[in-house]
Parts: sequence; C-alpha cells; structure tokens
Amino acid sequence: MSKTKTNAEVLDASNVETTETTEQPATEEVQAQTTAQDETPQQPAEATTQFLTANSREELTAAFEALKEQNPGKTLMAGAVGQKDDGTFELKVDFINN
Amino acid sequence: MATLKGQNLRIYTRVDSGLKVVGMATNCTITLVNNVSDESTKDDTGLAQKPITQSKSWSVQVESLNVTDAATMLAAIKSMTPFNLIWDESGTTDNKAHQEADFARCGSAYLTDLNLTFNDRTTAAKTLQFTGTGAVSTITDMDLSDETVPAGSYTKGQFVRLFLSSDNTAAPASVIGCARELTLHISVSVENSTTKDTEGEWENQEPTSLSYDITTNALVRSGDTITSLVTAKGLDDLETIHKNGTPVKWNIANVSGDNQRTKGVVIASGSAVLTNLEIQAQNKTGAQYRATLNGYGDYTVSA
Repeated sequence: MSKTKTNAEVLDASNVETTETTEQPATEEVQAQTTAQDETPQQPAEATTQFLTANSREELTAAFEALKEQNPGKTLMAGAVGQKDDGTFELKVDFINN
Repeated sequence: MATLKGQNLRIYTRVDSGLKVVGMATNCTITLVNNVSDESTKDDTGLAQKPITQSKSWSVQVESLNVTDAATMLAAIKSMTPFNLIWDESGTTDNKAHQEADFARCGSAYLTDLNLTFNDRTTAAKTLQFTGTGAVSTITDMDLSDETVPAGSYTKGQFVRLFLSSDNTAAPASVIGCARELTLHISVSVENSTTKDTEGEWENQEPTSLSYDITTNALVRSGDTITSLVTAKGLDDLETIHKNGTPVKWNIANVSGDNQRTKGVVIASGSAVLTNLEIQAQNKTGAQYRATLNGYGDYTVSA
C-alpha cells in the first residue's frame, strides 16, 4: 500500500456510530464504506467517521474530549458543529489511525 | 419534454461501492473549455480571427451549506489526490439518486480551491472548486448504487471563530472582538502536465503548491466595552501584529459561552502572517477593520 493516502482513503470513511451519542448520522457527501472500525485494526491508513450528538455545544465539546481520551494514539479531526432541525447539535469526527 | 430543474443536476463523488451526492448543495457549475489559439494567417482576407482548438479542459464548482465536514475537506485538499467526479440528473423523488442521463459525464479532478465562510448570523457555507485532469467520459452502464445521504445540519457562522496569539509560540487564546466575518480560503496551484505522450485532446493537470489565507472583519470599538470584559483582540492588537510583521498562531474553532468566546473543538490551526490590515470609516456607518492573514507553513486539521 502506498504511504500516500488516496482521497478514497481519506474521504471514504467508515461510519461508526456510538450508541450513547449518535441517533443518526448527518449529511456527509464524501464518505462511503461501512466497515466497522474494530474490523480493520491492521490498516493504519484507514479513516473512520463518527458523529457525536448532544443537546448543547458544551456537552458536545465534553463528548469530544472524552472520545479523545478513549482513543489514545489516534488523530481525531473534527468539523464545524452543526445544528439539526430538532435543535440538537452534532459533530463529525474523523479518526486517522496513525 | 420538461425543463430540467437546477436541483436535479447534481455532482457526485465515486466511491468503492457507489456514488455519493455532494450534500446540501445550493449551486453547481460545470465548465467545459476548448482552449483555442488564433490561426489566421496573411493568406486570410479581412480582420477576423480563426480560432483552432488546441486542447480541452474542464472544471466543476459546487456550493454547499454543509460545513460539518470542514476538517475532511481541509485534509482532502492537502492530500493532492484526485477525486472521481460525476455529474448527472437526479431522481425527482429525493433529488439524490443518479439517473445516468444522456448528458451525464465523469472524470478525474483535483480539489483545487476550498472556501469556508463563517459570517455572523449567516449559515456557514463552503465552495469547492475541482480542476479536471484527463478526459471527461460518458457514464452509461456504470452499475453503481447510490450511497445514503442522511438529513444534514446547519452551522451558524457566529459559532465558529478565529483565535489568534500575539506571536508564533503562545497558544492562540483570544478571539477577534466584535468580529463579523470569517473566511478560510485554501488554494492549490496546478500545472499543465500534458505532453506529446498524452493521447486525446484533454489536458492533464498536476498539483504543484498550496497556499491559504484567512480573512476577518470586525467593528472598531471606542471606549472599549466588550473587549475589556473578556479577553479579545482589538484593532490595537492587530496593529501590533502588523508592526511586528512576524507569524502568529491561529485556531479556527467552535465556540460557546459568554460573548461566544469559549473555545470548543478546534477545526484547524496553524501559523500565519498578517499581510493586510484595512481600516474603513464611512460616513454614518460603524468603523470597521478587515484583516487578511496568509498561511505560514502547513496547517493542521487534527484536533
């Protein structure tokens, strides 16, 4: 495998939901495979995606900090916080396995 | 025959298992170019030119209200690897499923320009500009499924702010006080890499370099009110940064709390040099200033 990640690897992120924080994934135009994160432990270049949801921005920040602590050694990339029609907030997080 | 509505012409990215529509898009533009040169000679009478096609090139621009993937896009444009793009007619029931219309085409393209805007009391938006490399092809019998695109969410511009430090060592801890607009613009330069070995008329492109700039504007405060209550950068701080002329560190982050100045999850960070500081004072209008910072070295999207 090439050391340079392709856009397919960067963008075709798995959508791994956490039951305690995710009600439904949000719009994401460039993600694809639904391979579970724990099914691909031997592929360091794979990115996976997770959507955190919360009732406030502060809760979302706390959930993200907790997620970082739960995933030592991984790089987490977070986008802009979005607000859904029901008033809840969500945050898209991409995991880059270093 | 009915007229095709704008909402039913959409841009898709090809992924392993199918096509993914660019979500929450508001506009898209596909440009096909014949690059011509004037081949008129002295043998031709009159003044008219005779444009002869030398090569073909193409580009795609998409505007979208989804910036929850801002980090993904910031990483993608840095990767300098091409996307497989498709434009096609979408089904009228959901405006998403591709139909393989006669005019539908696909090709390989680099993301060469990314513009993220976070303006006060305005829904944040992004603009993607793709530059094609190689041929545009028909997409008949693609046998690809449509990836599910769930309902999206909106980001209000006032909840994403720019944080600056005063030098290139300290962590950026202060927002721009009384800011109104924020734009992060990334641009990748491409070079025409077509050679005599290249078959067909379509031009090949190769990315060569990346640059970025951050633009913000803010009201000028007199007799300081908000900025004295909570730490924030004002015009005097920006003038000091300009005077120093050296890089400062920056964050673009989600915010909450009092005066929306509590830093939440960081979207991107890096160093930048203040290259332009414009102070505007129009009659009967609040004085404001506009600052432009040019990226210094690579930016980071890791939170």
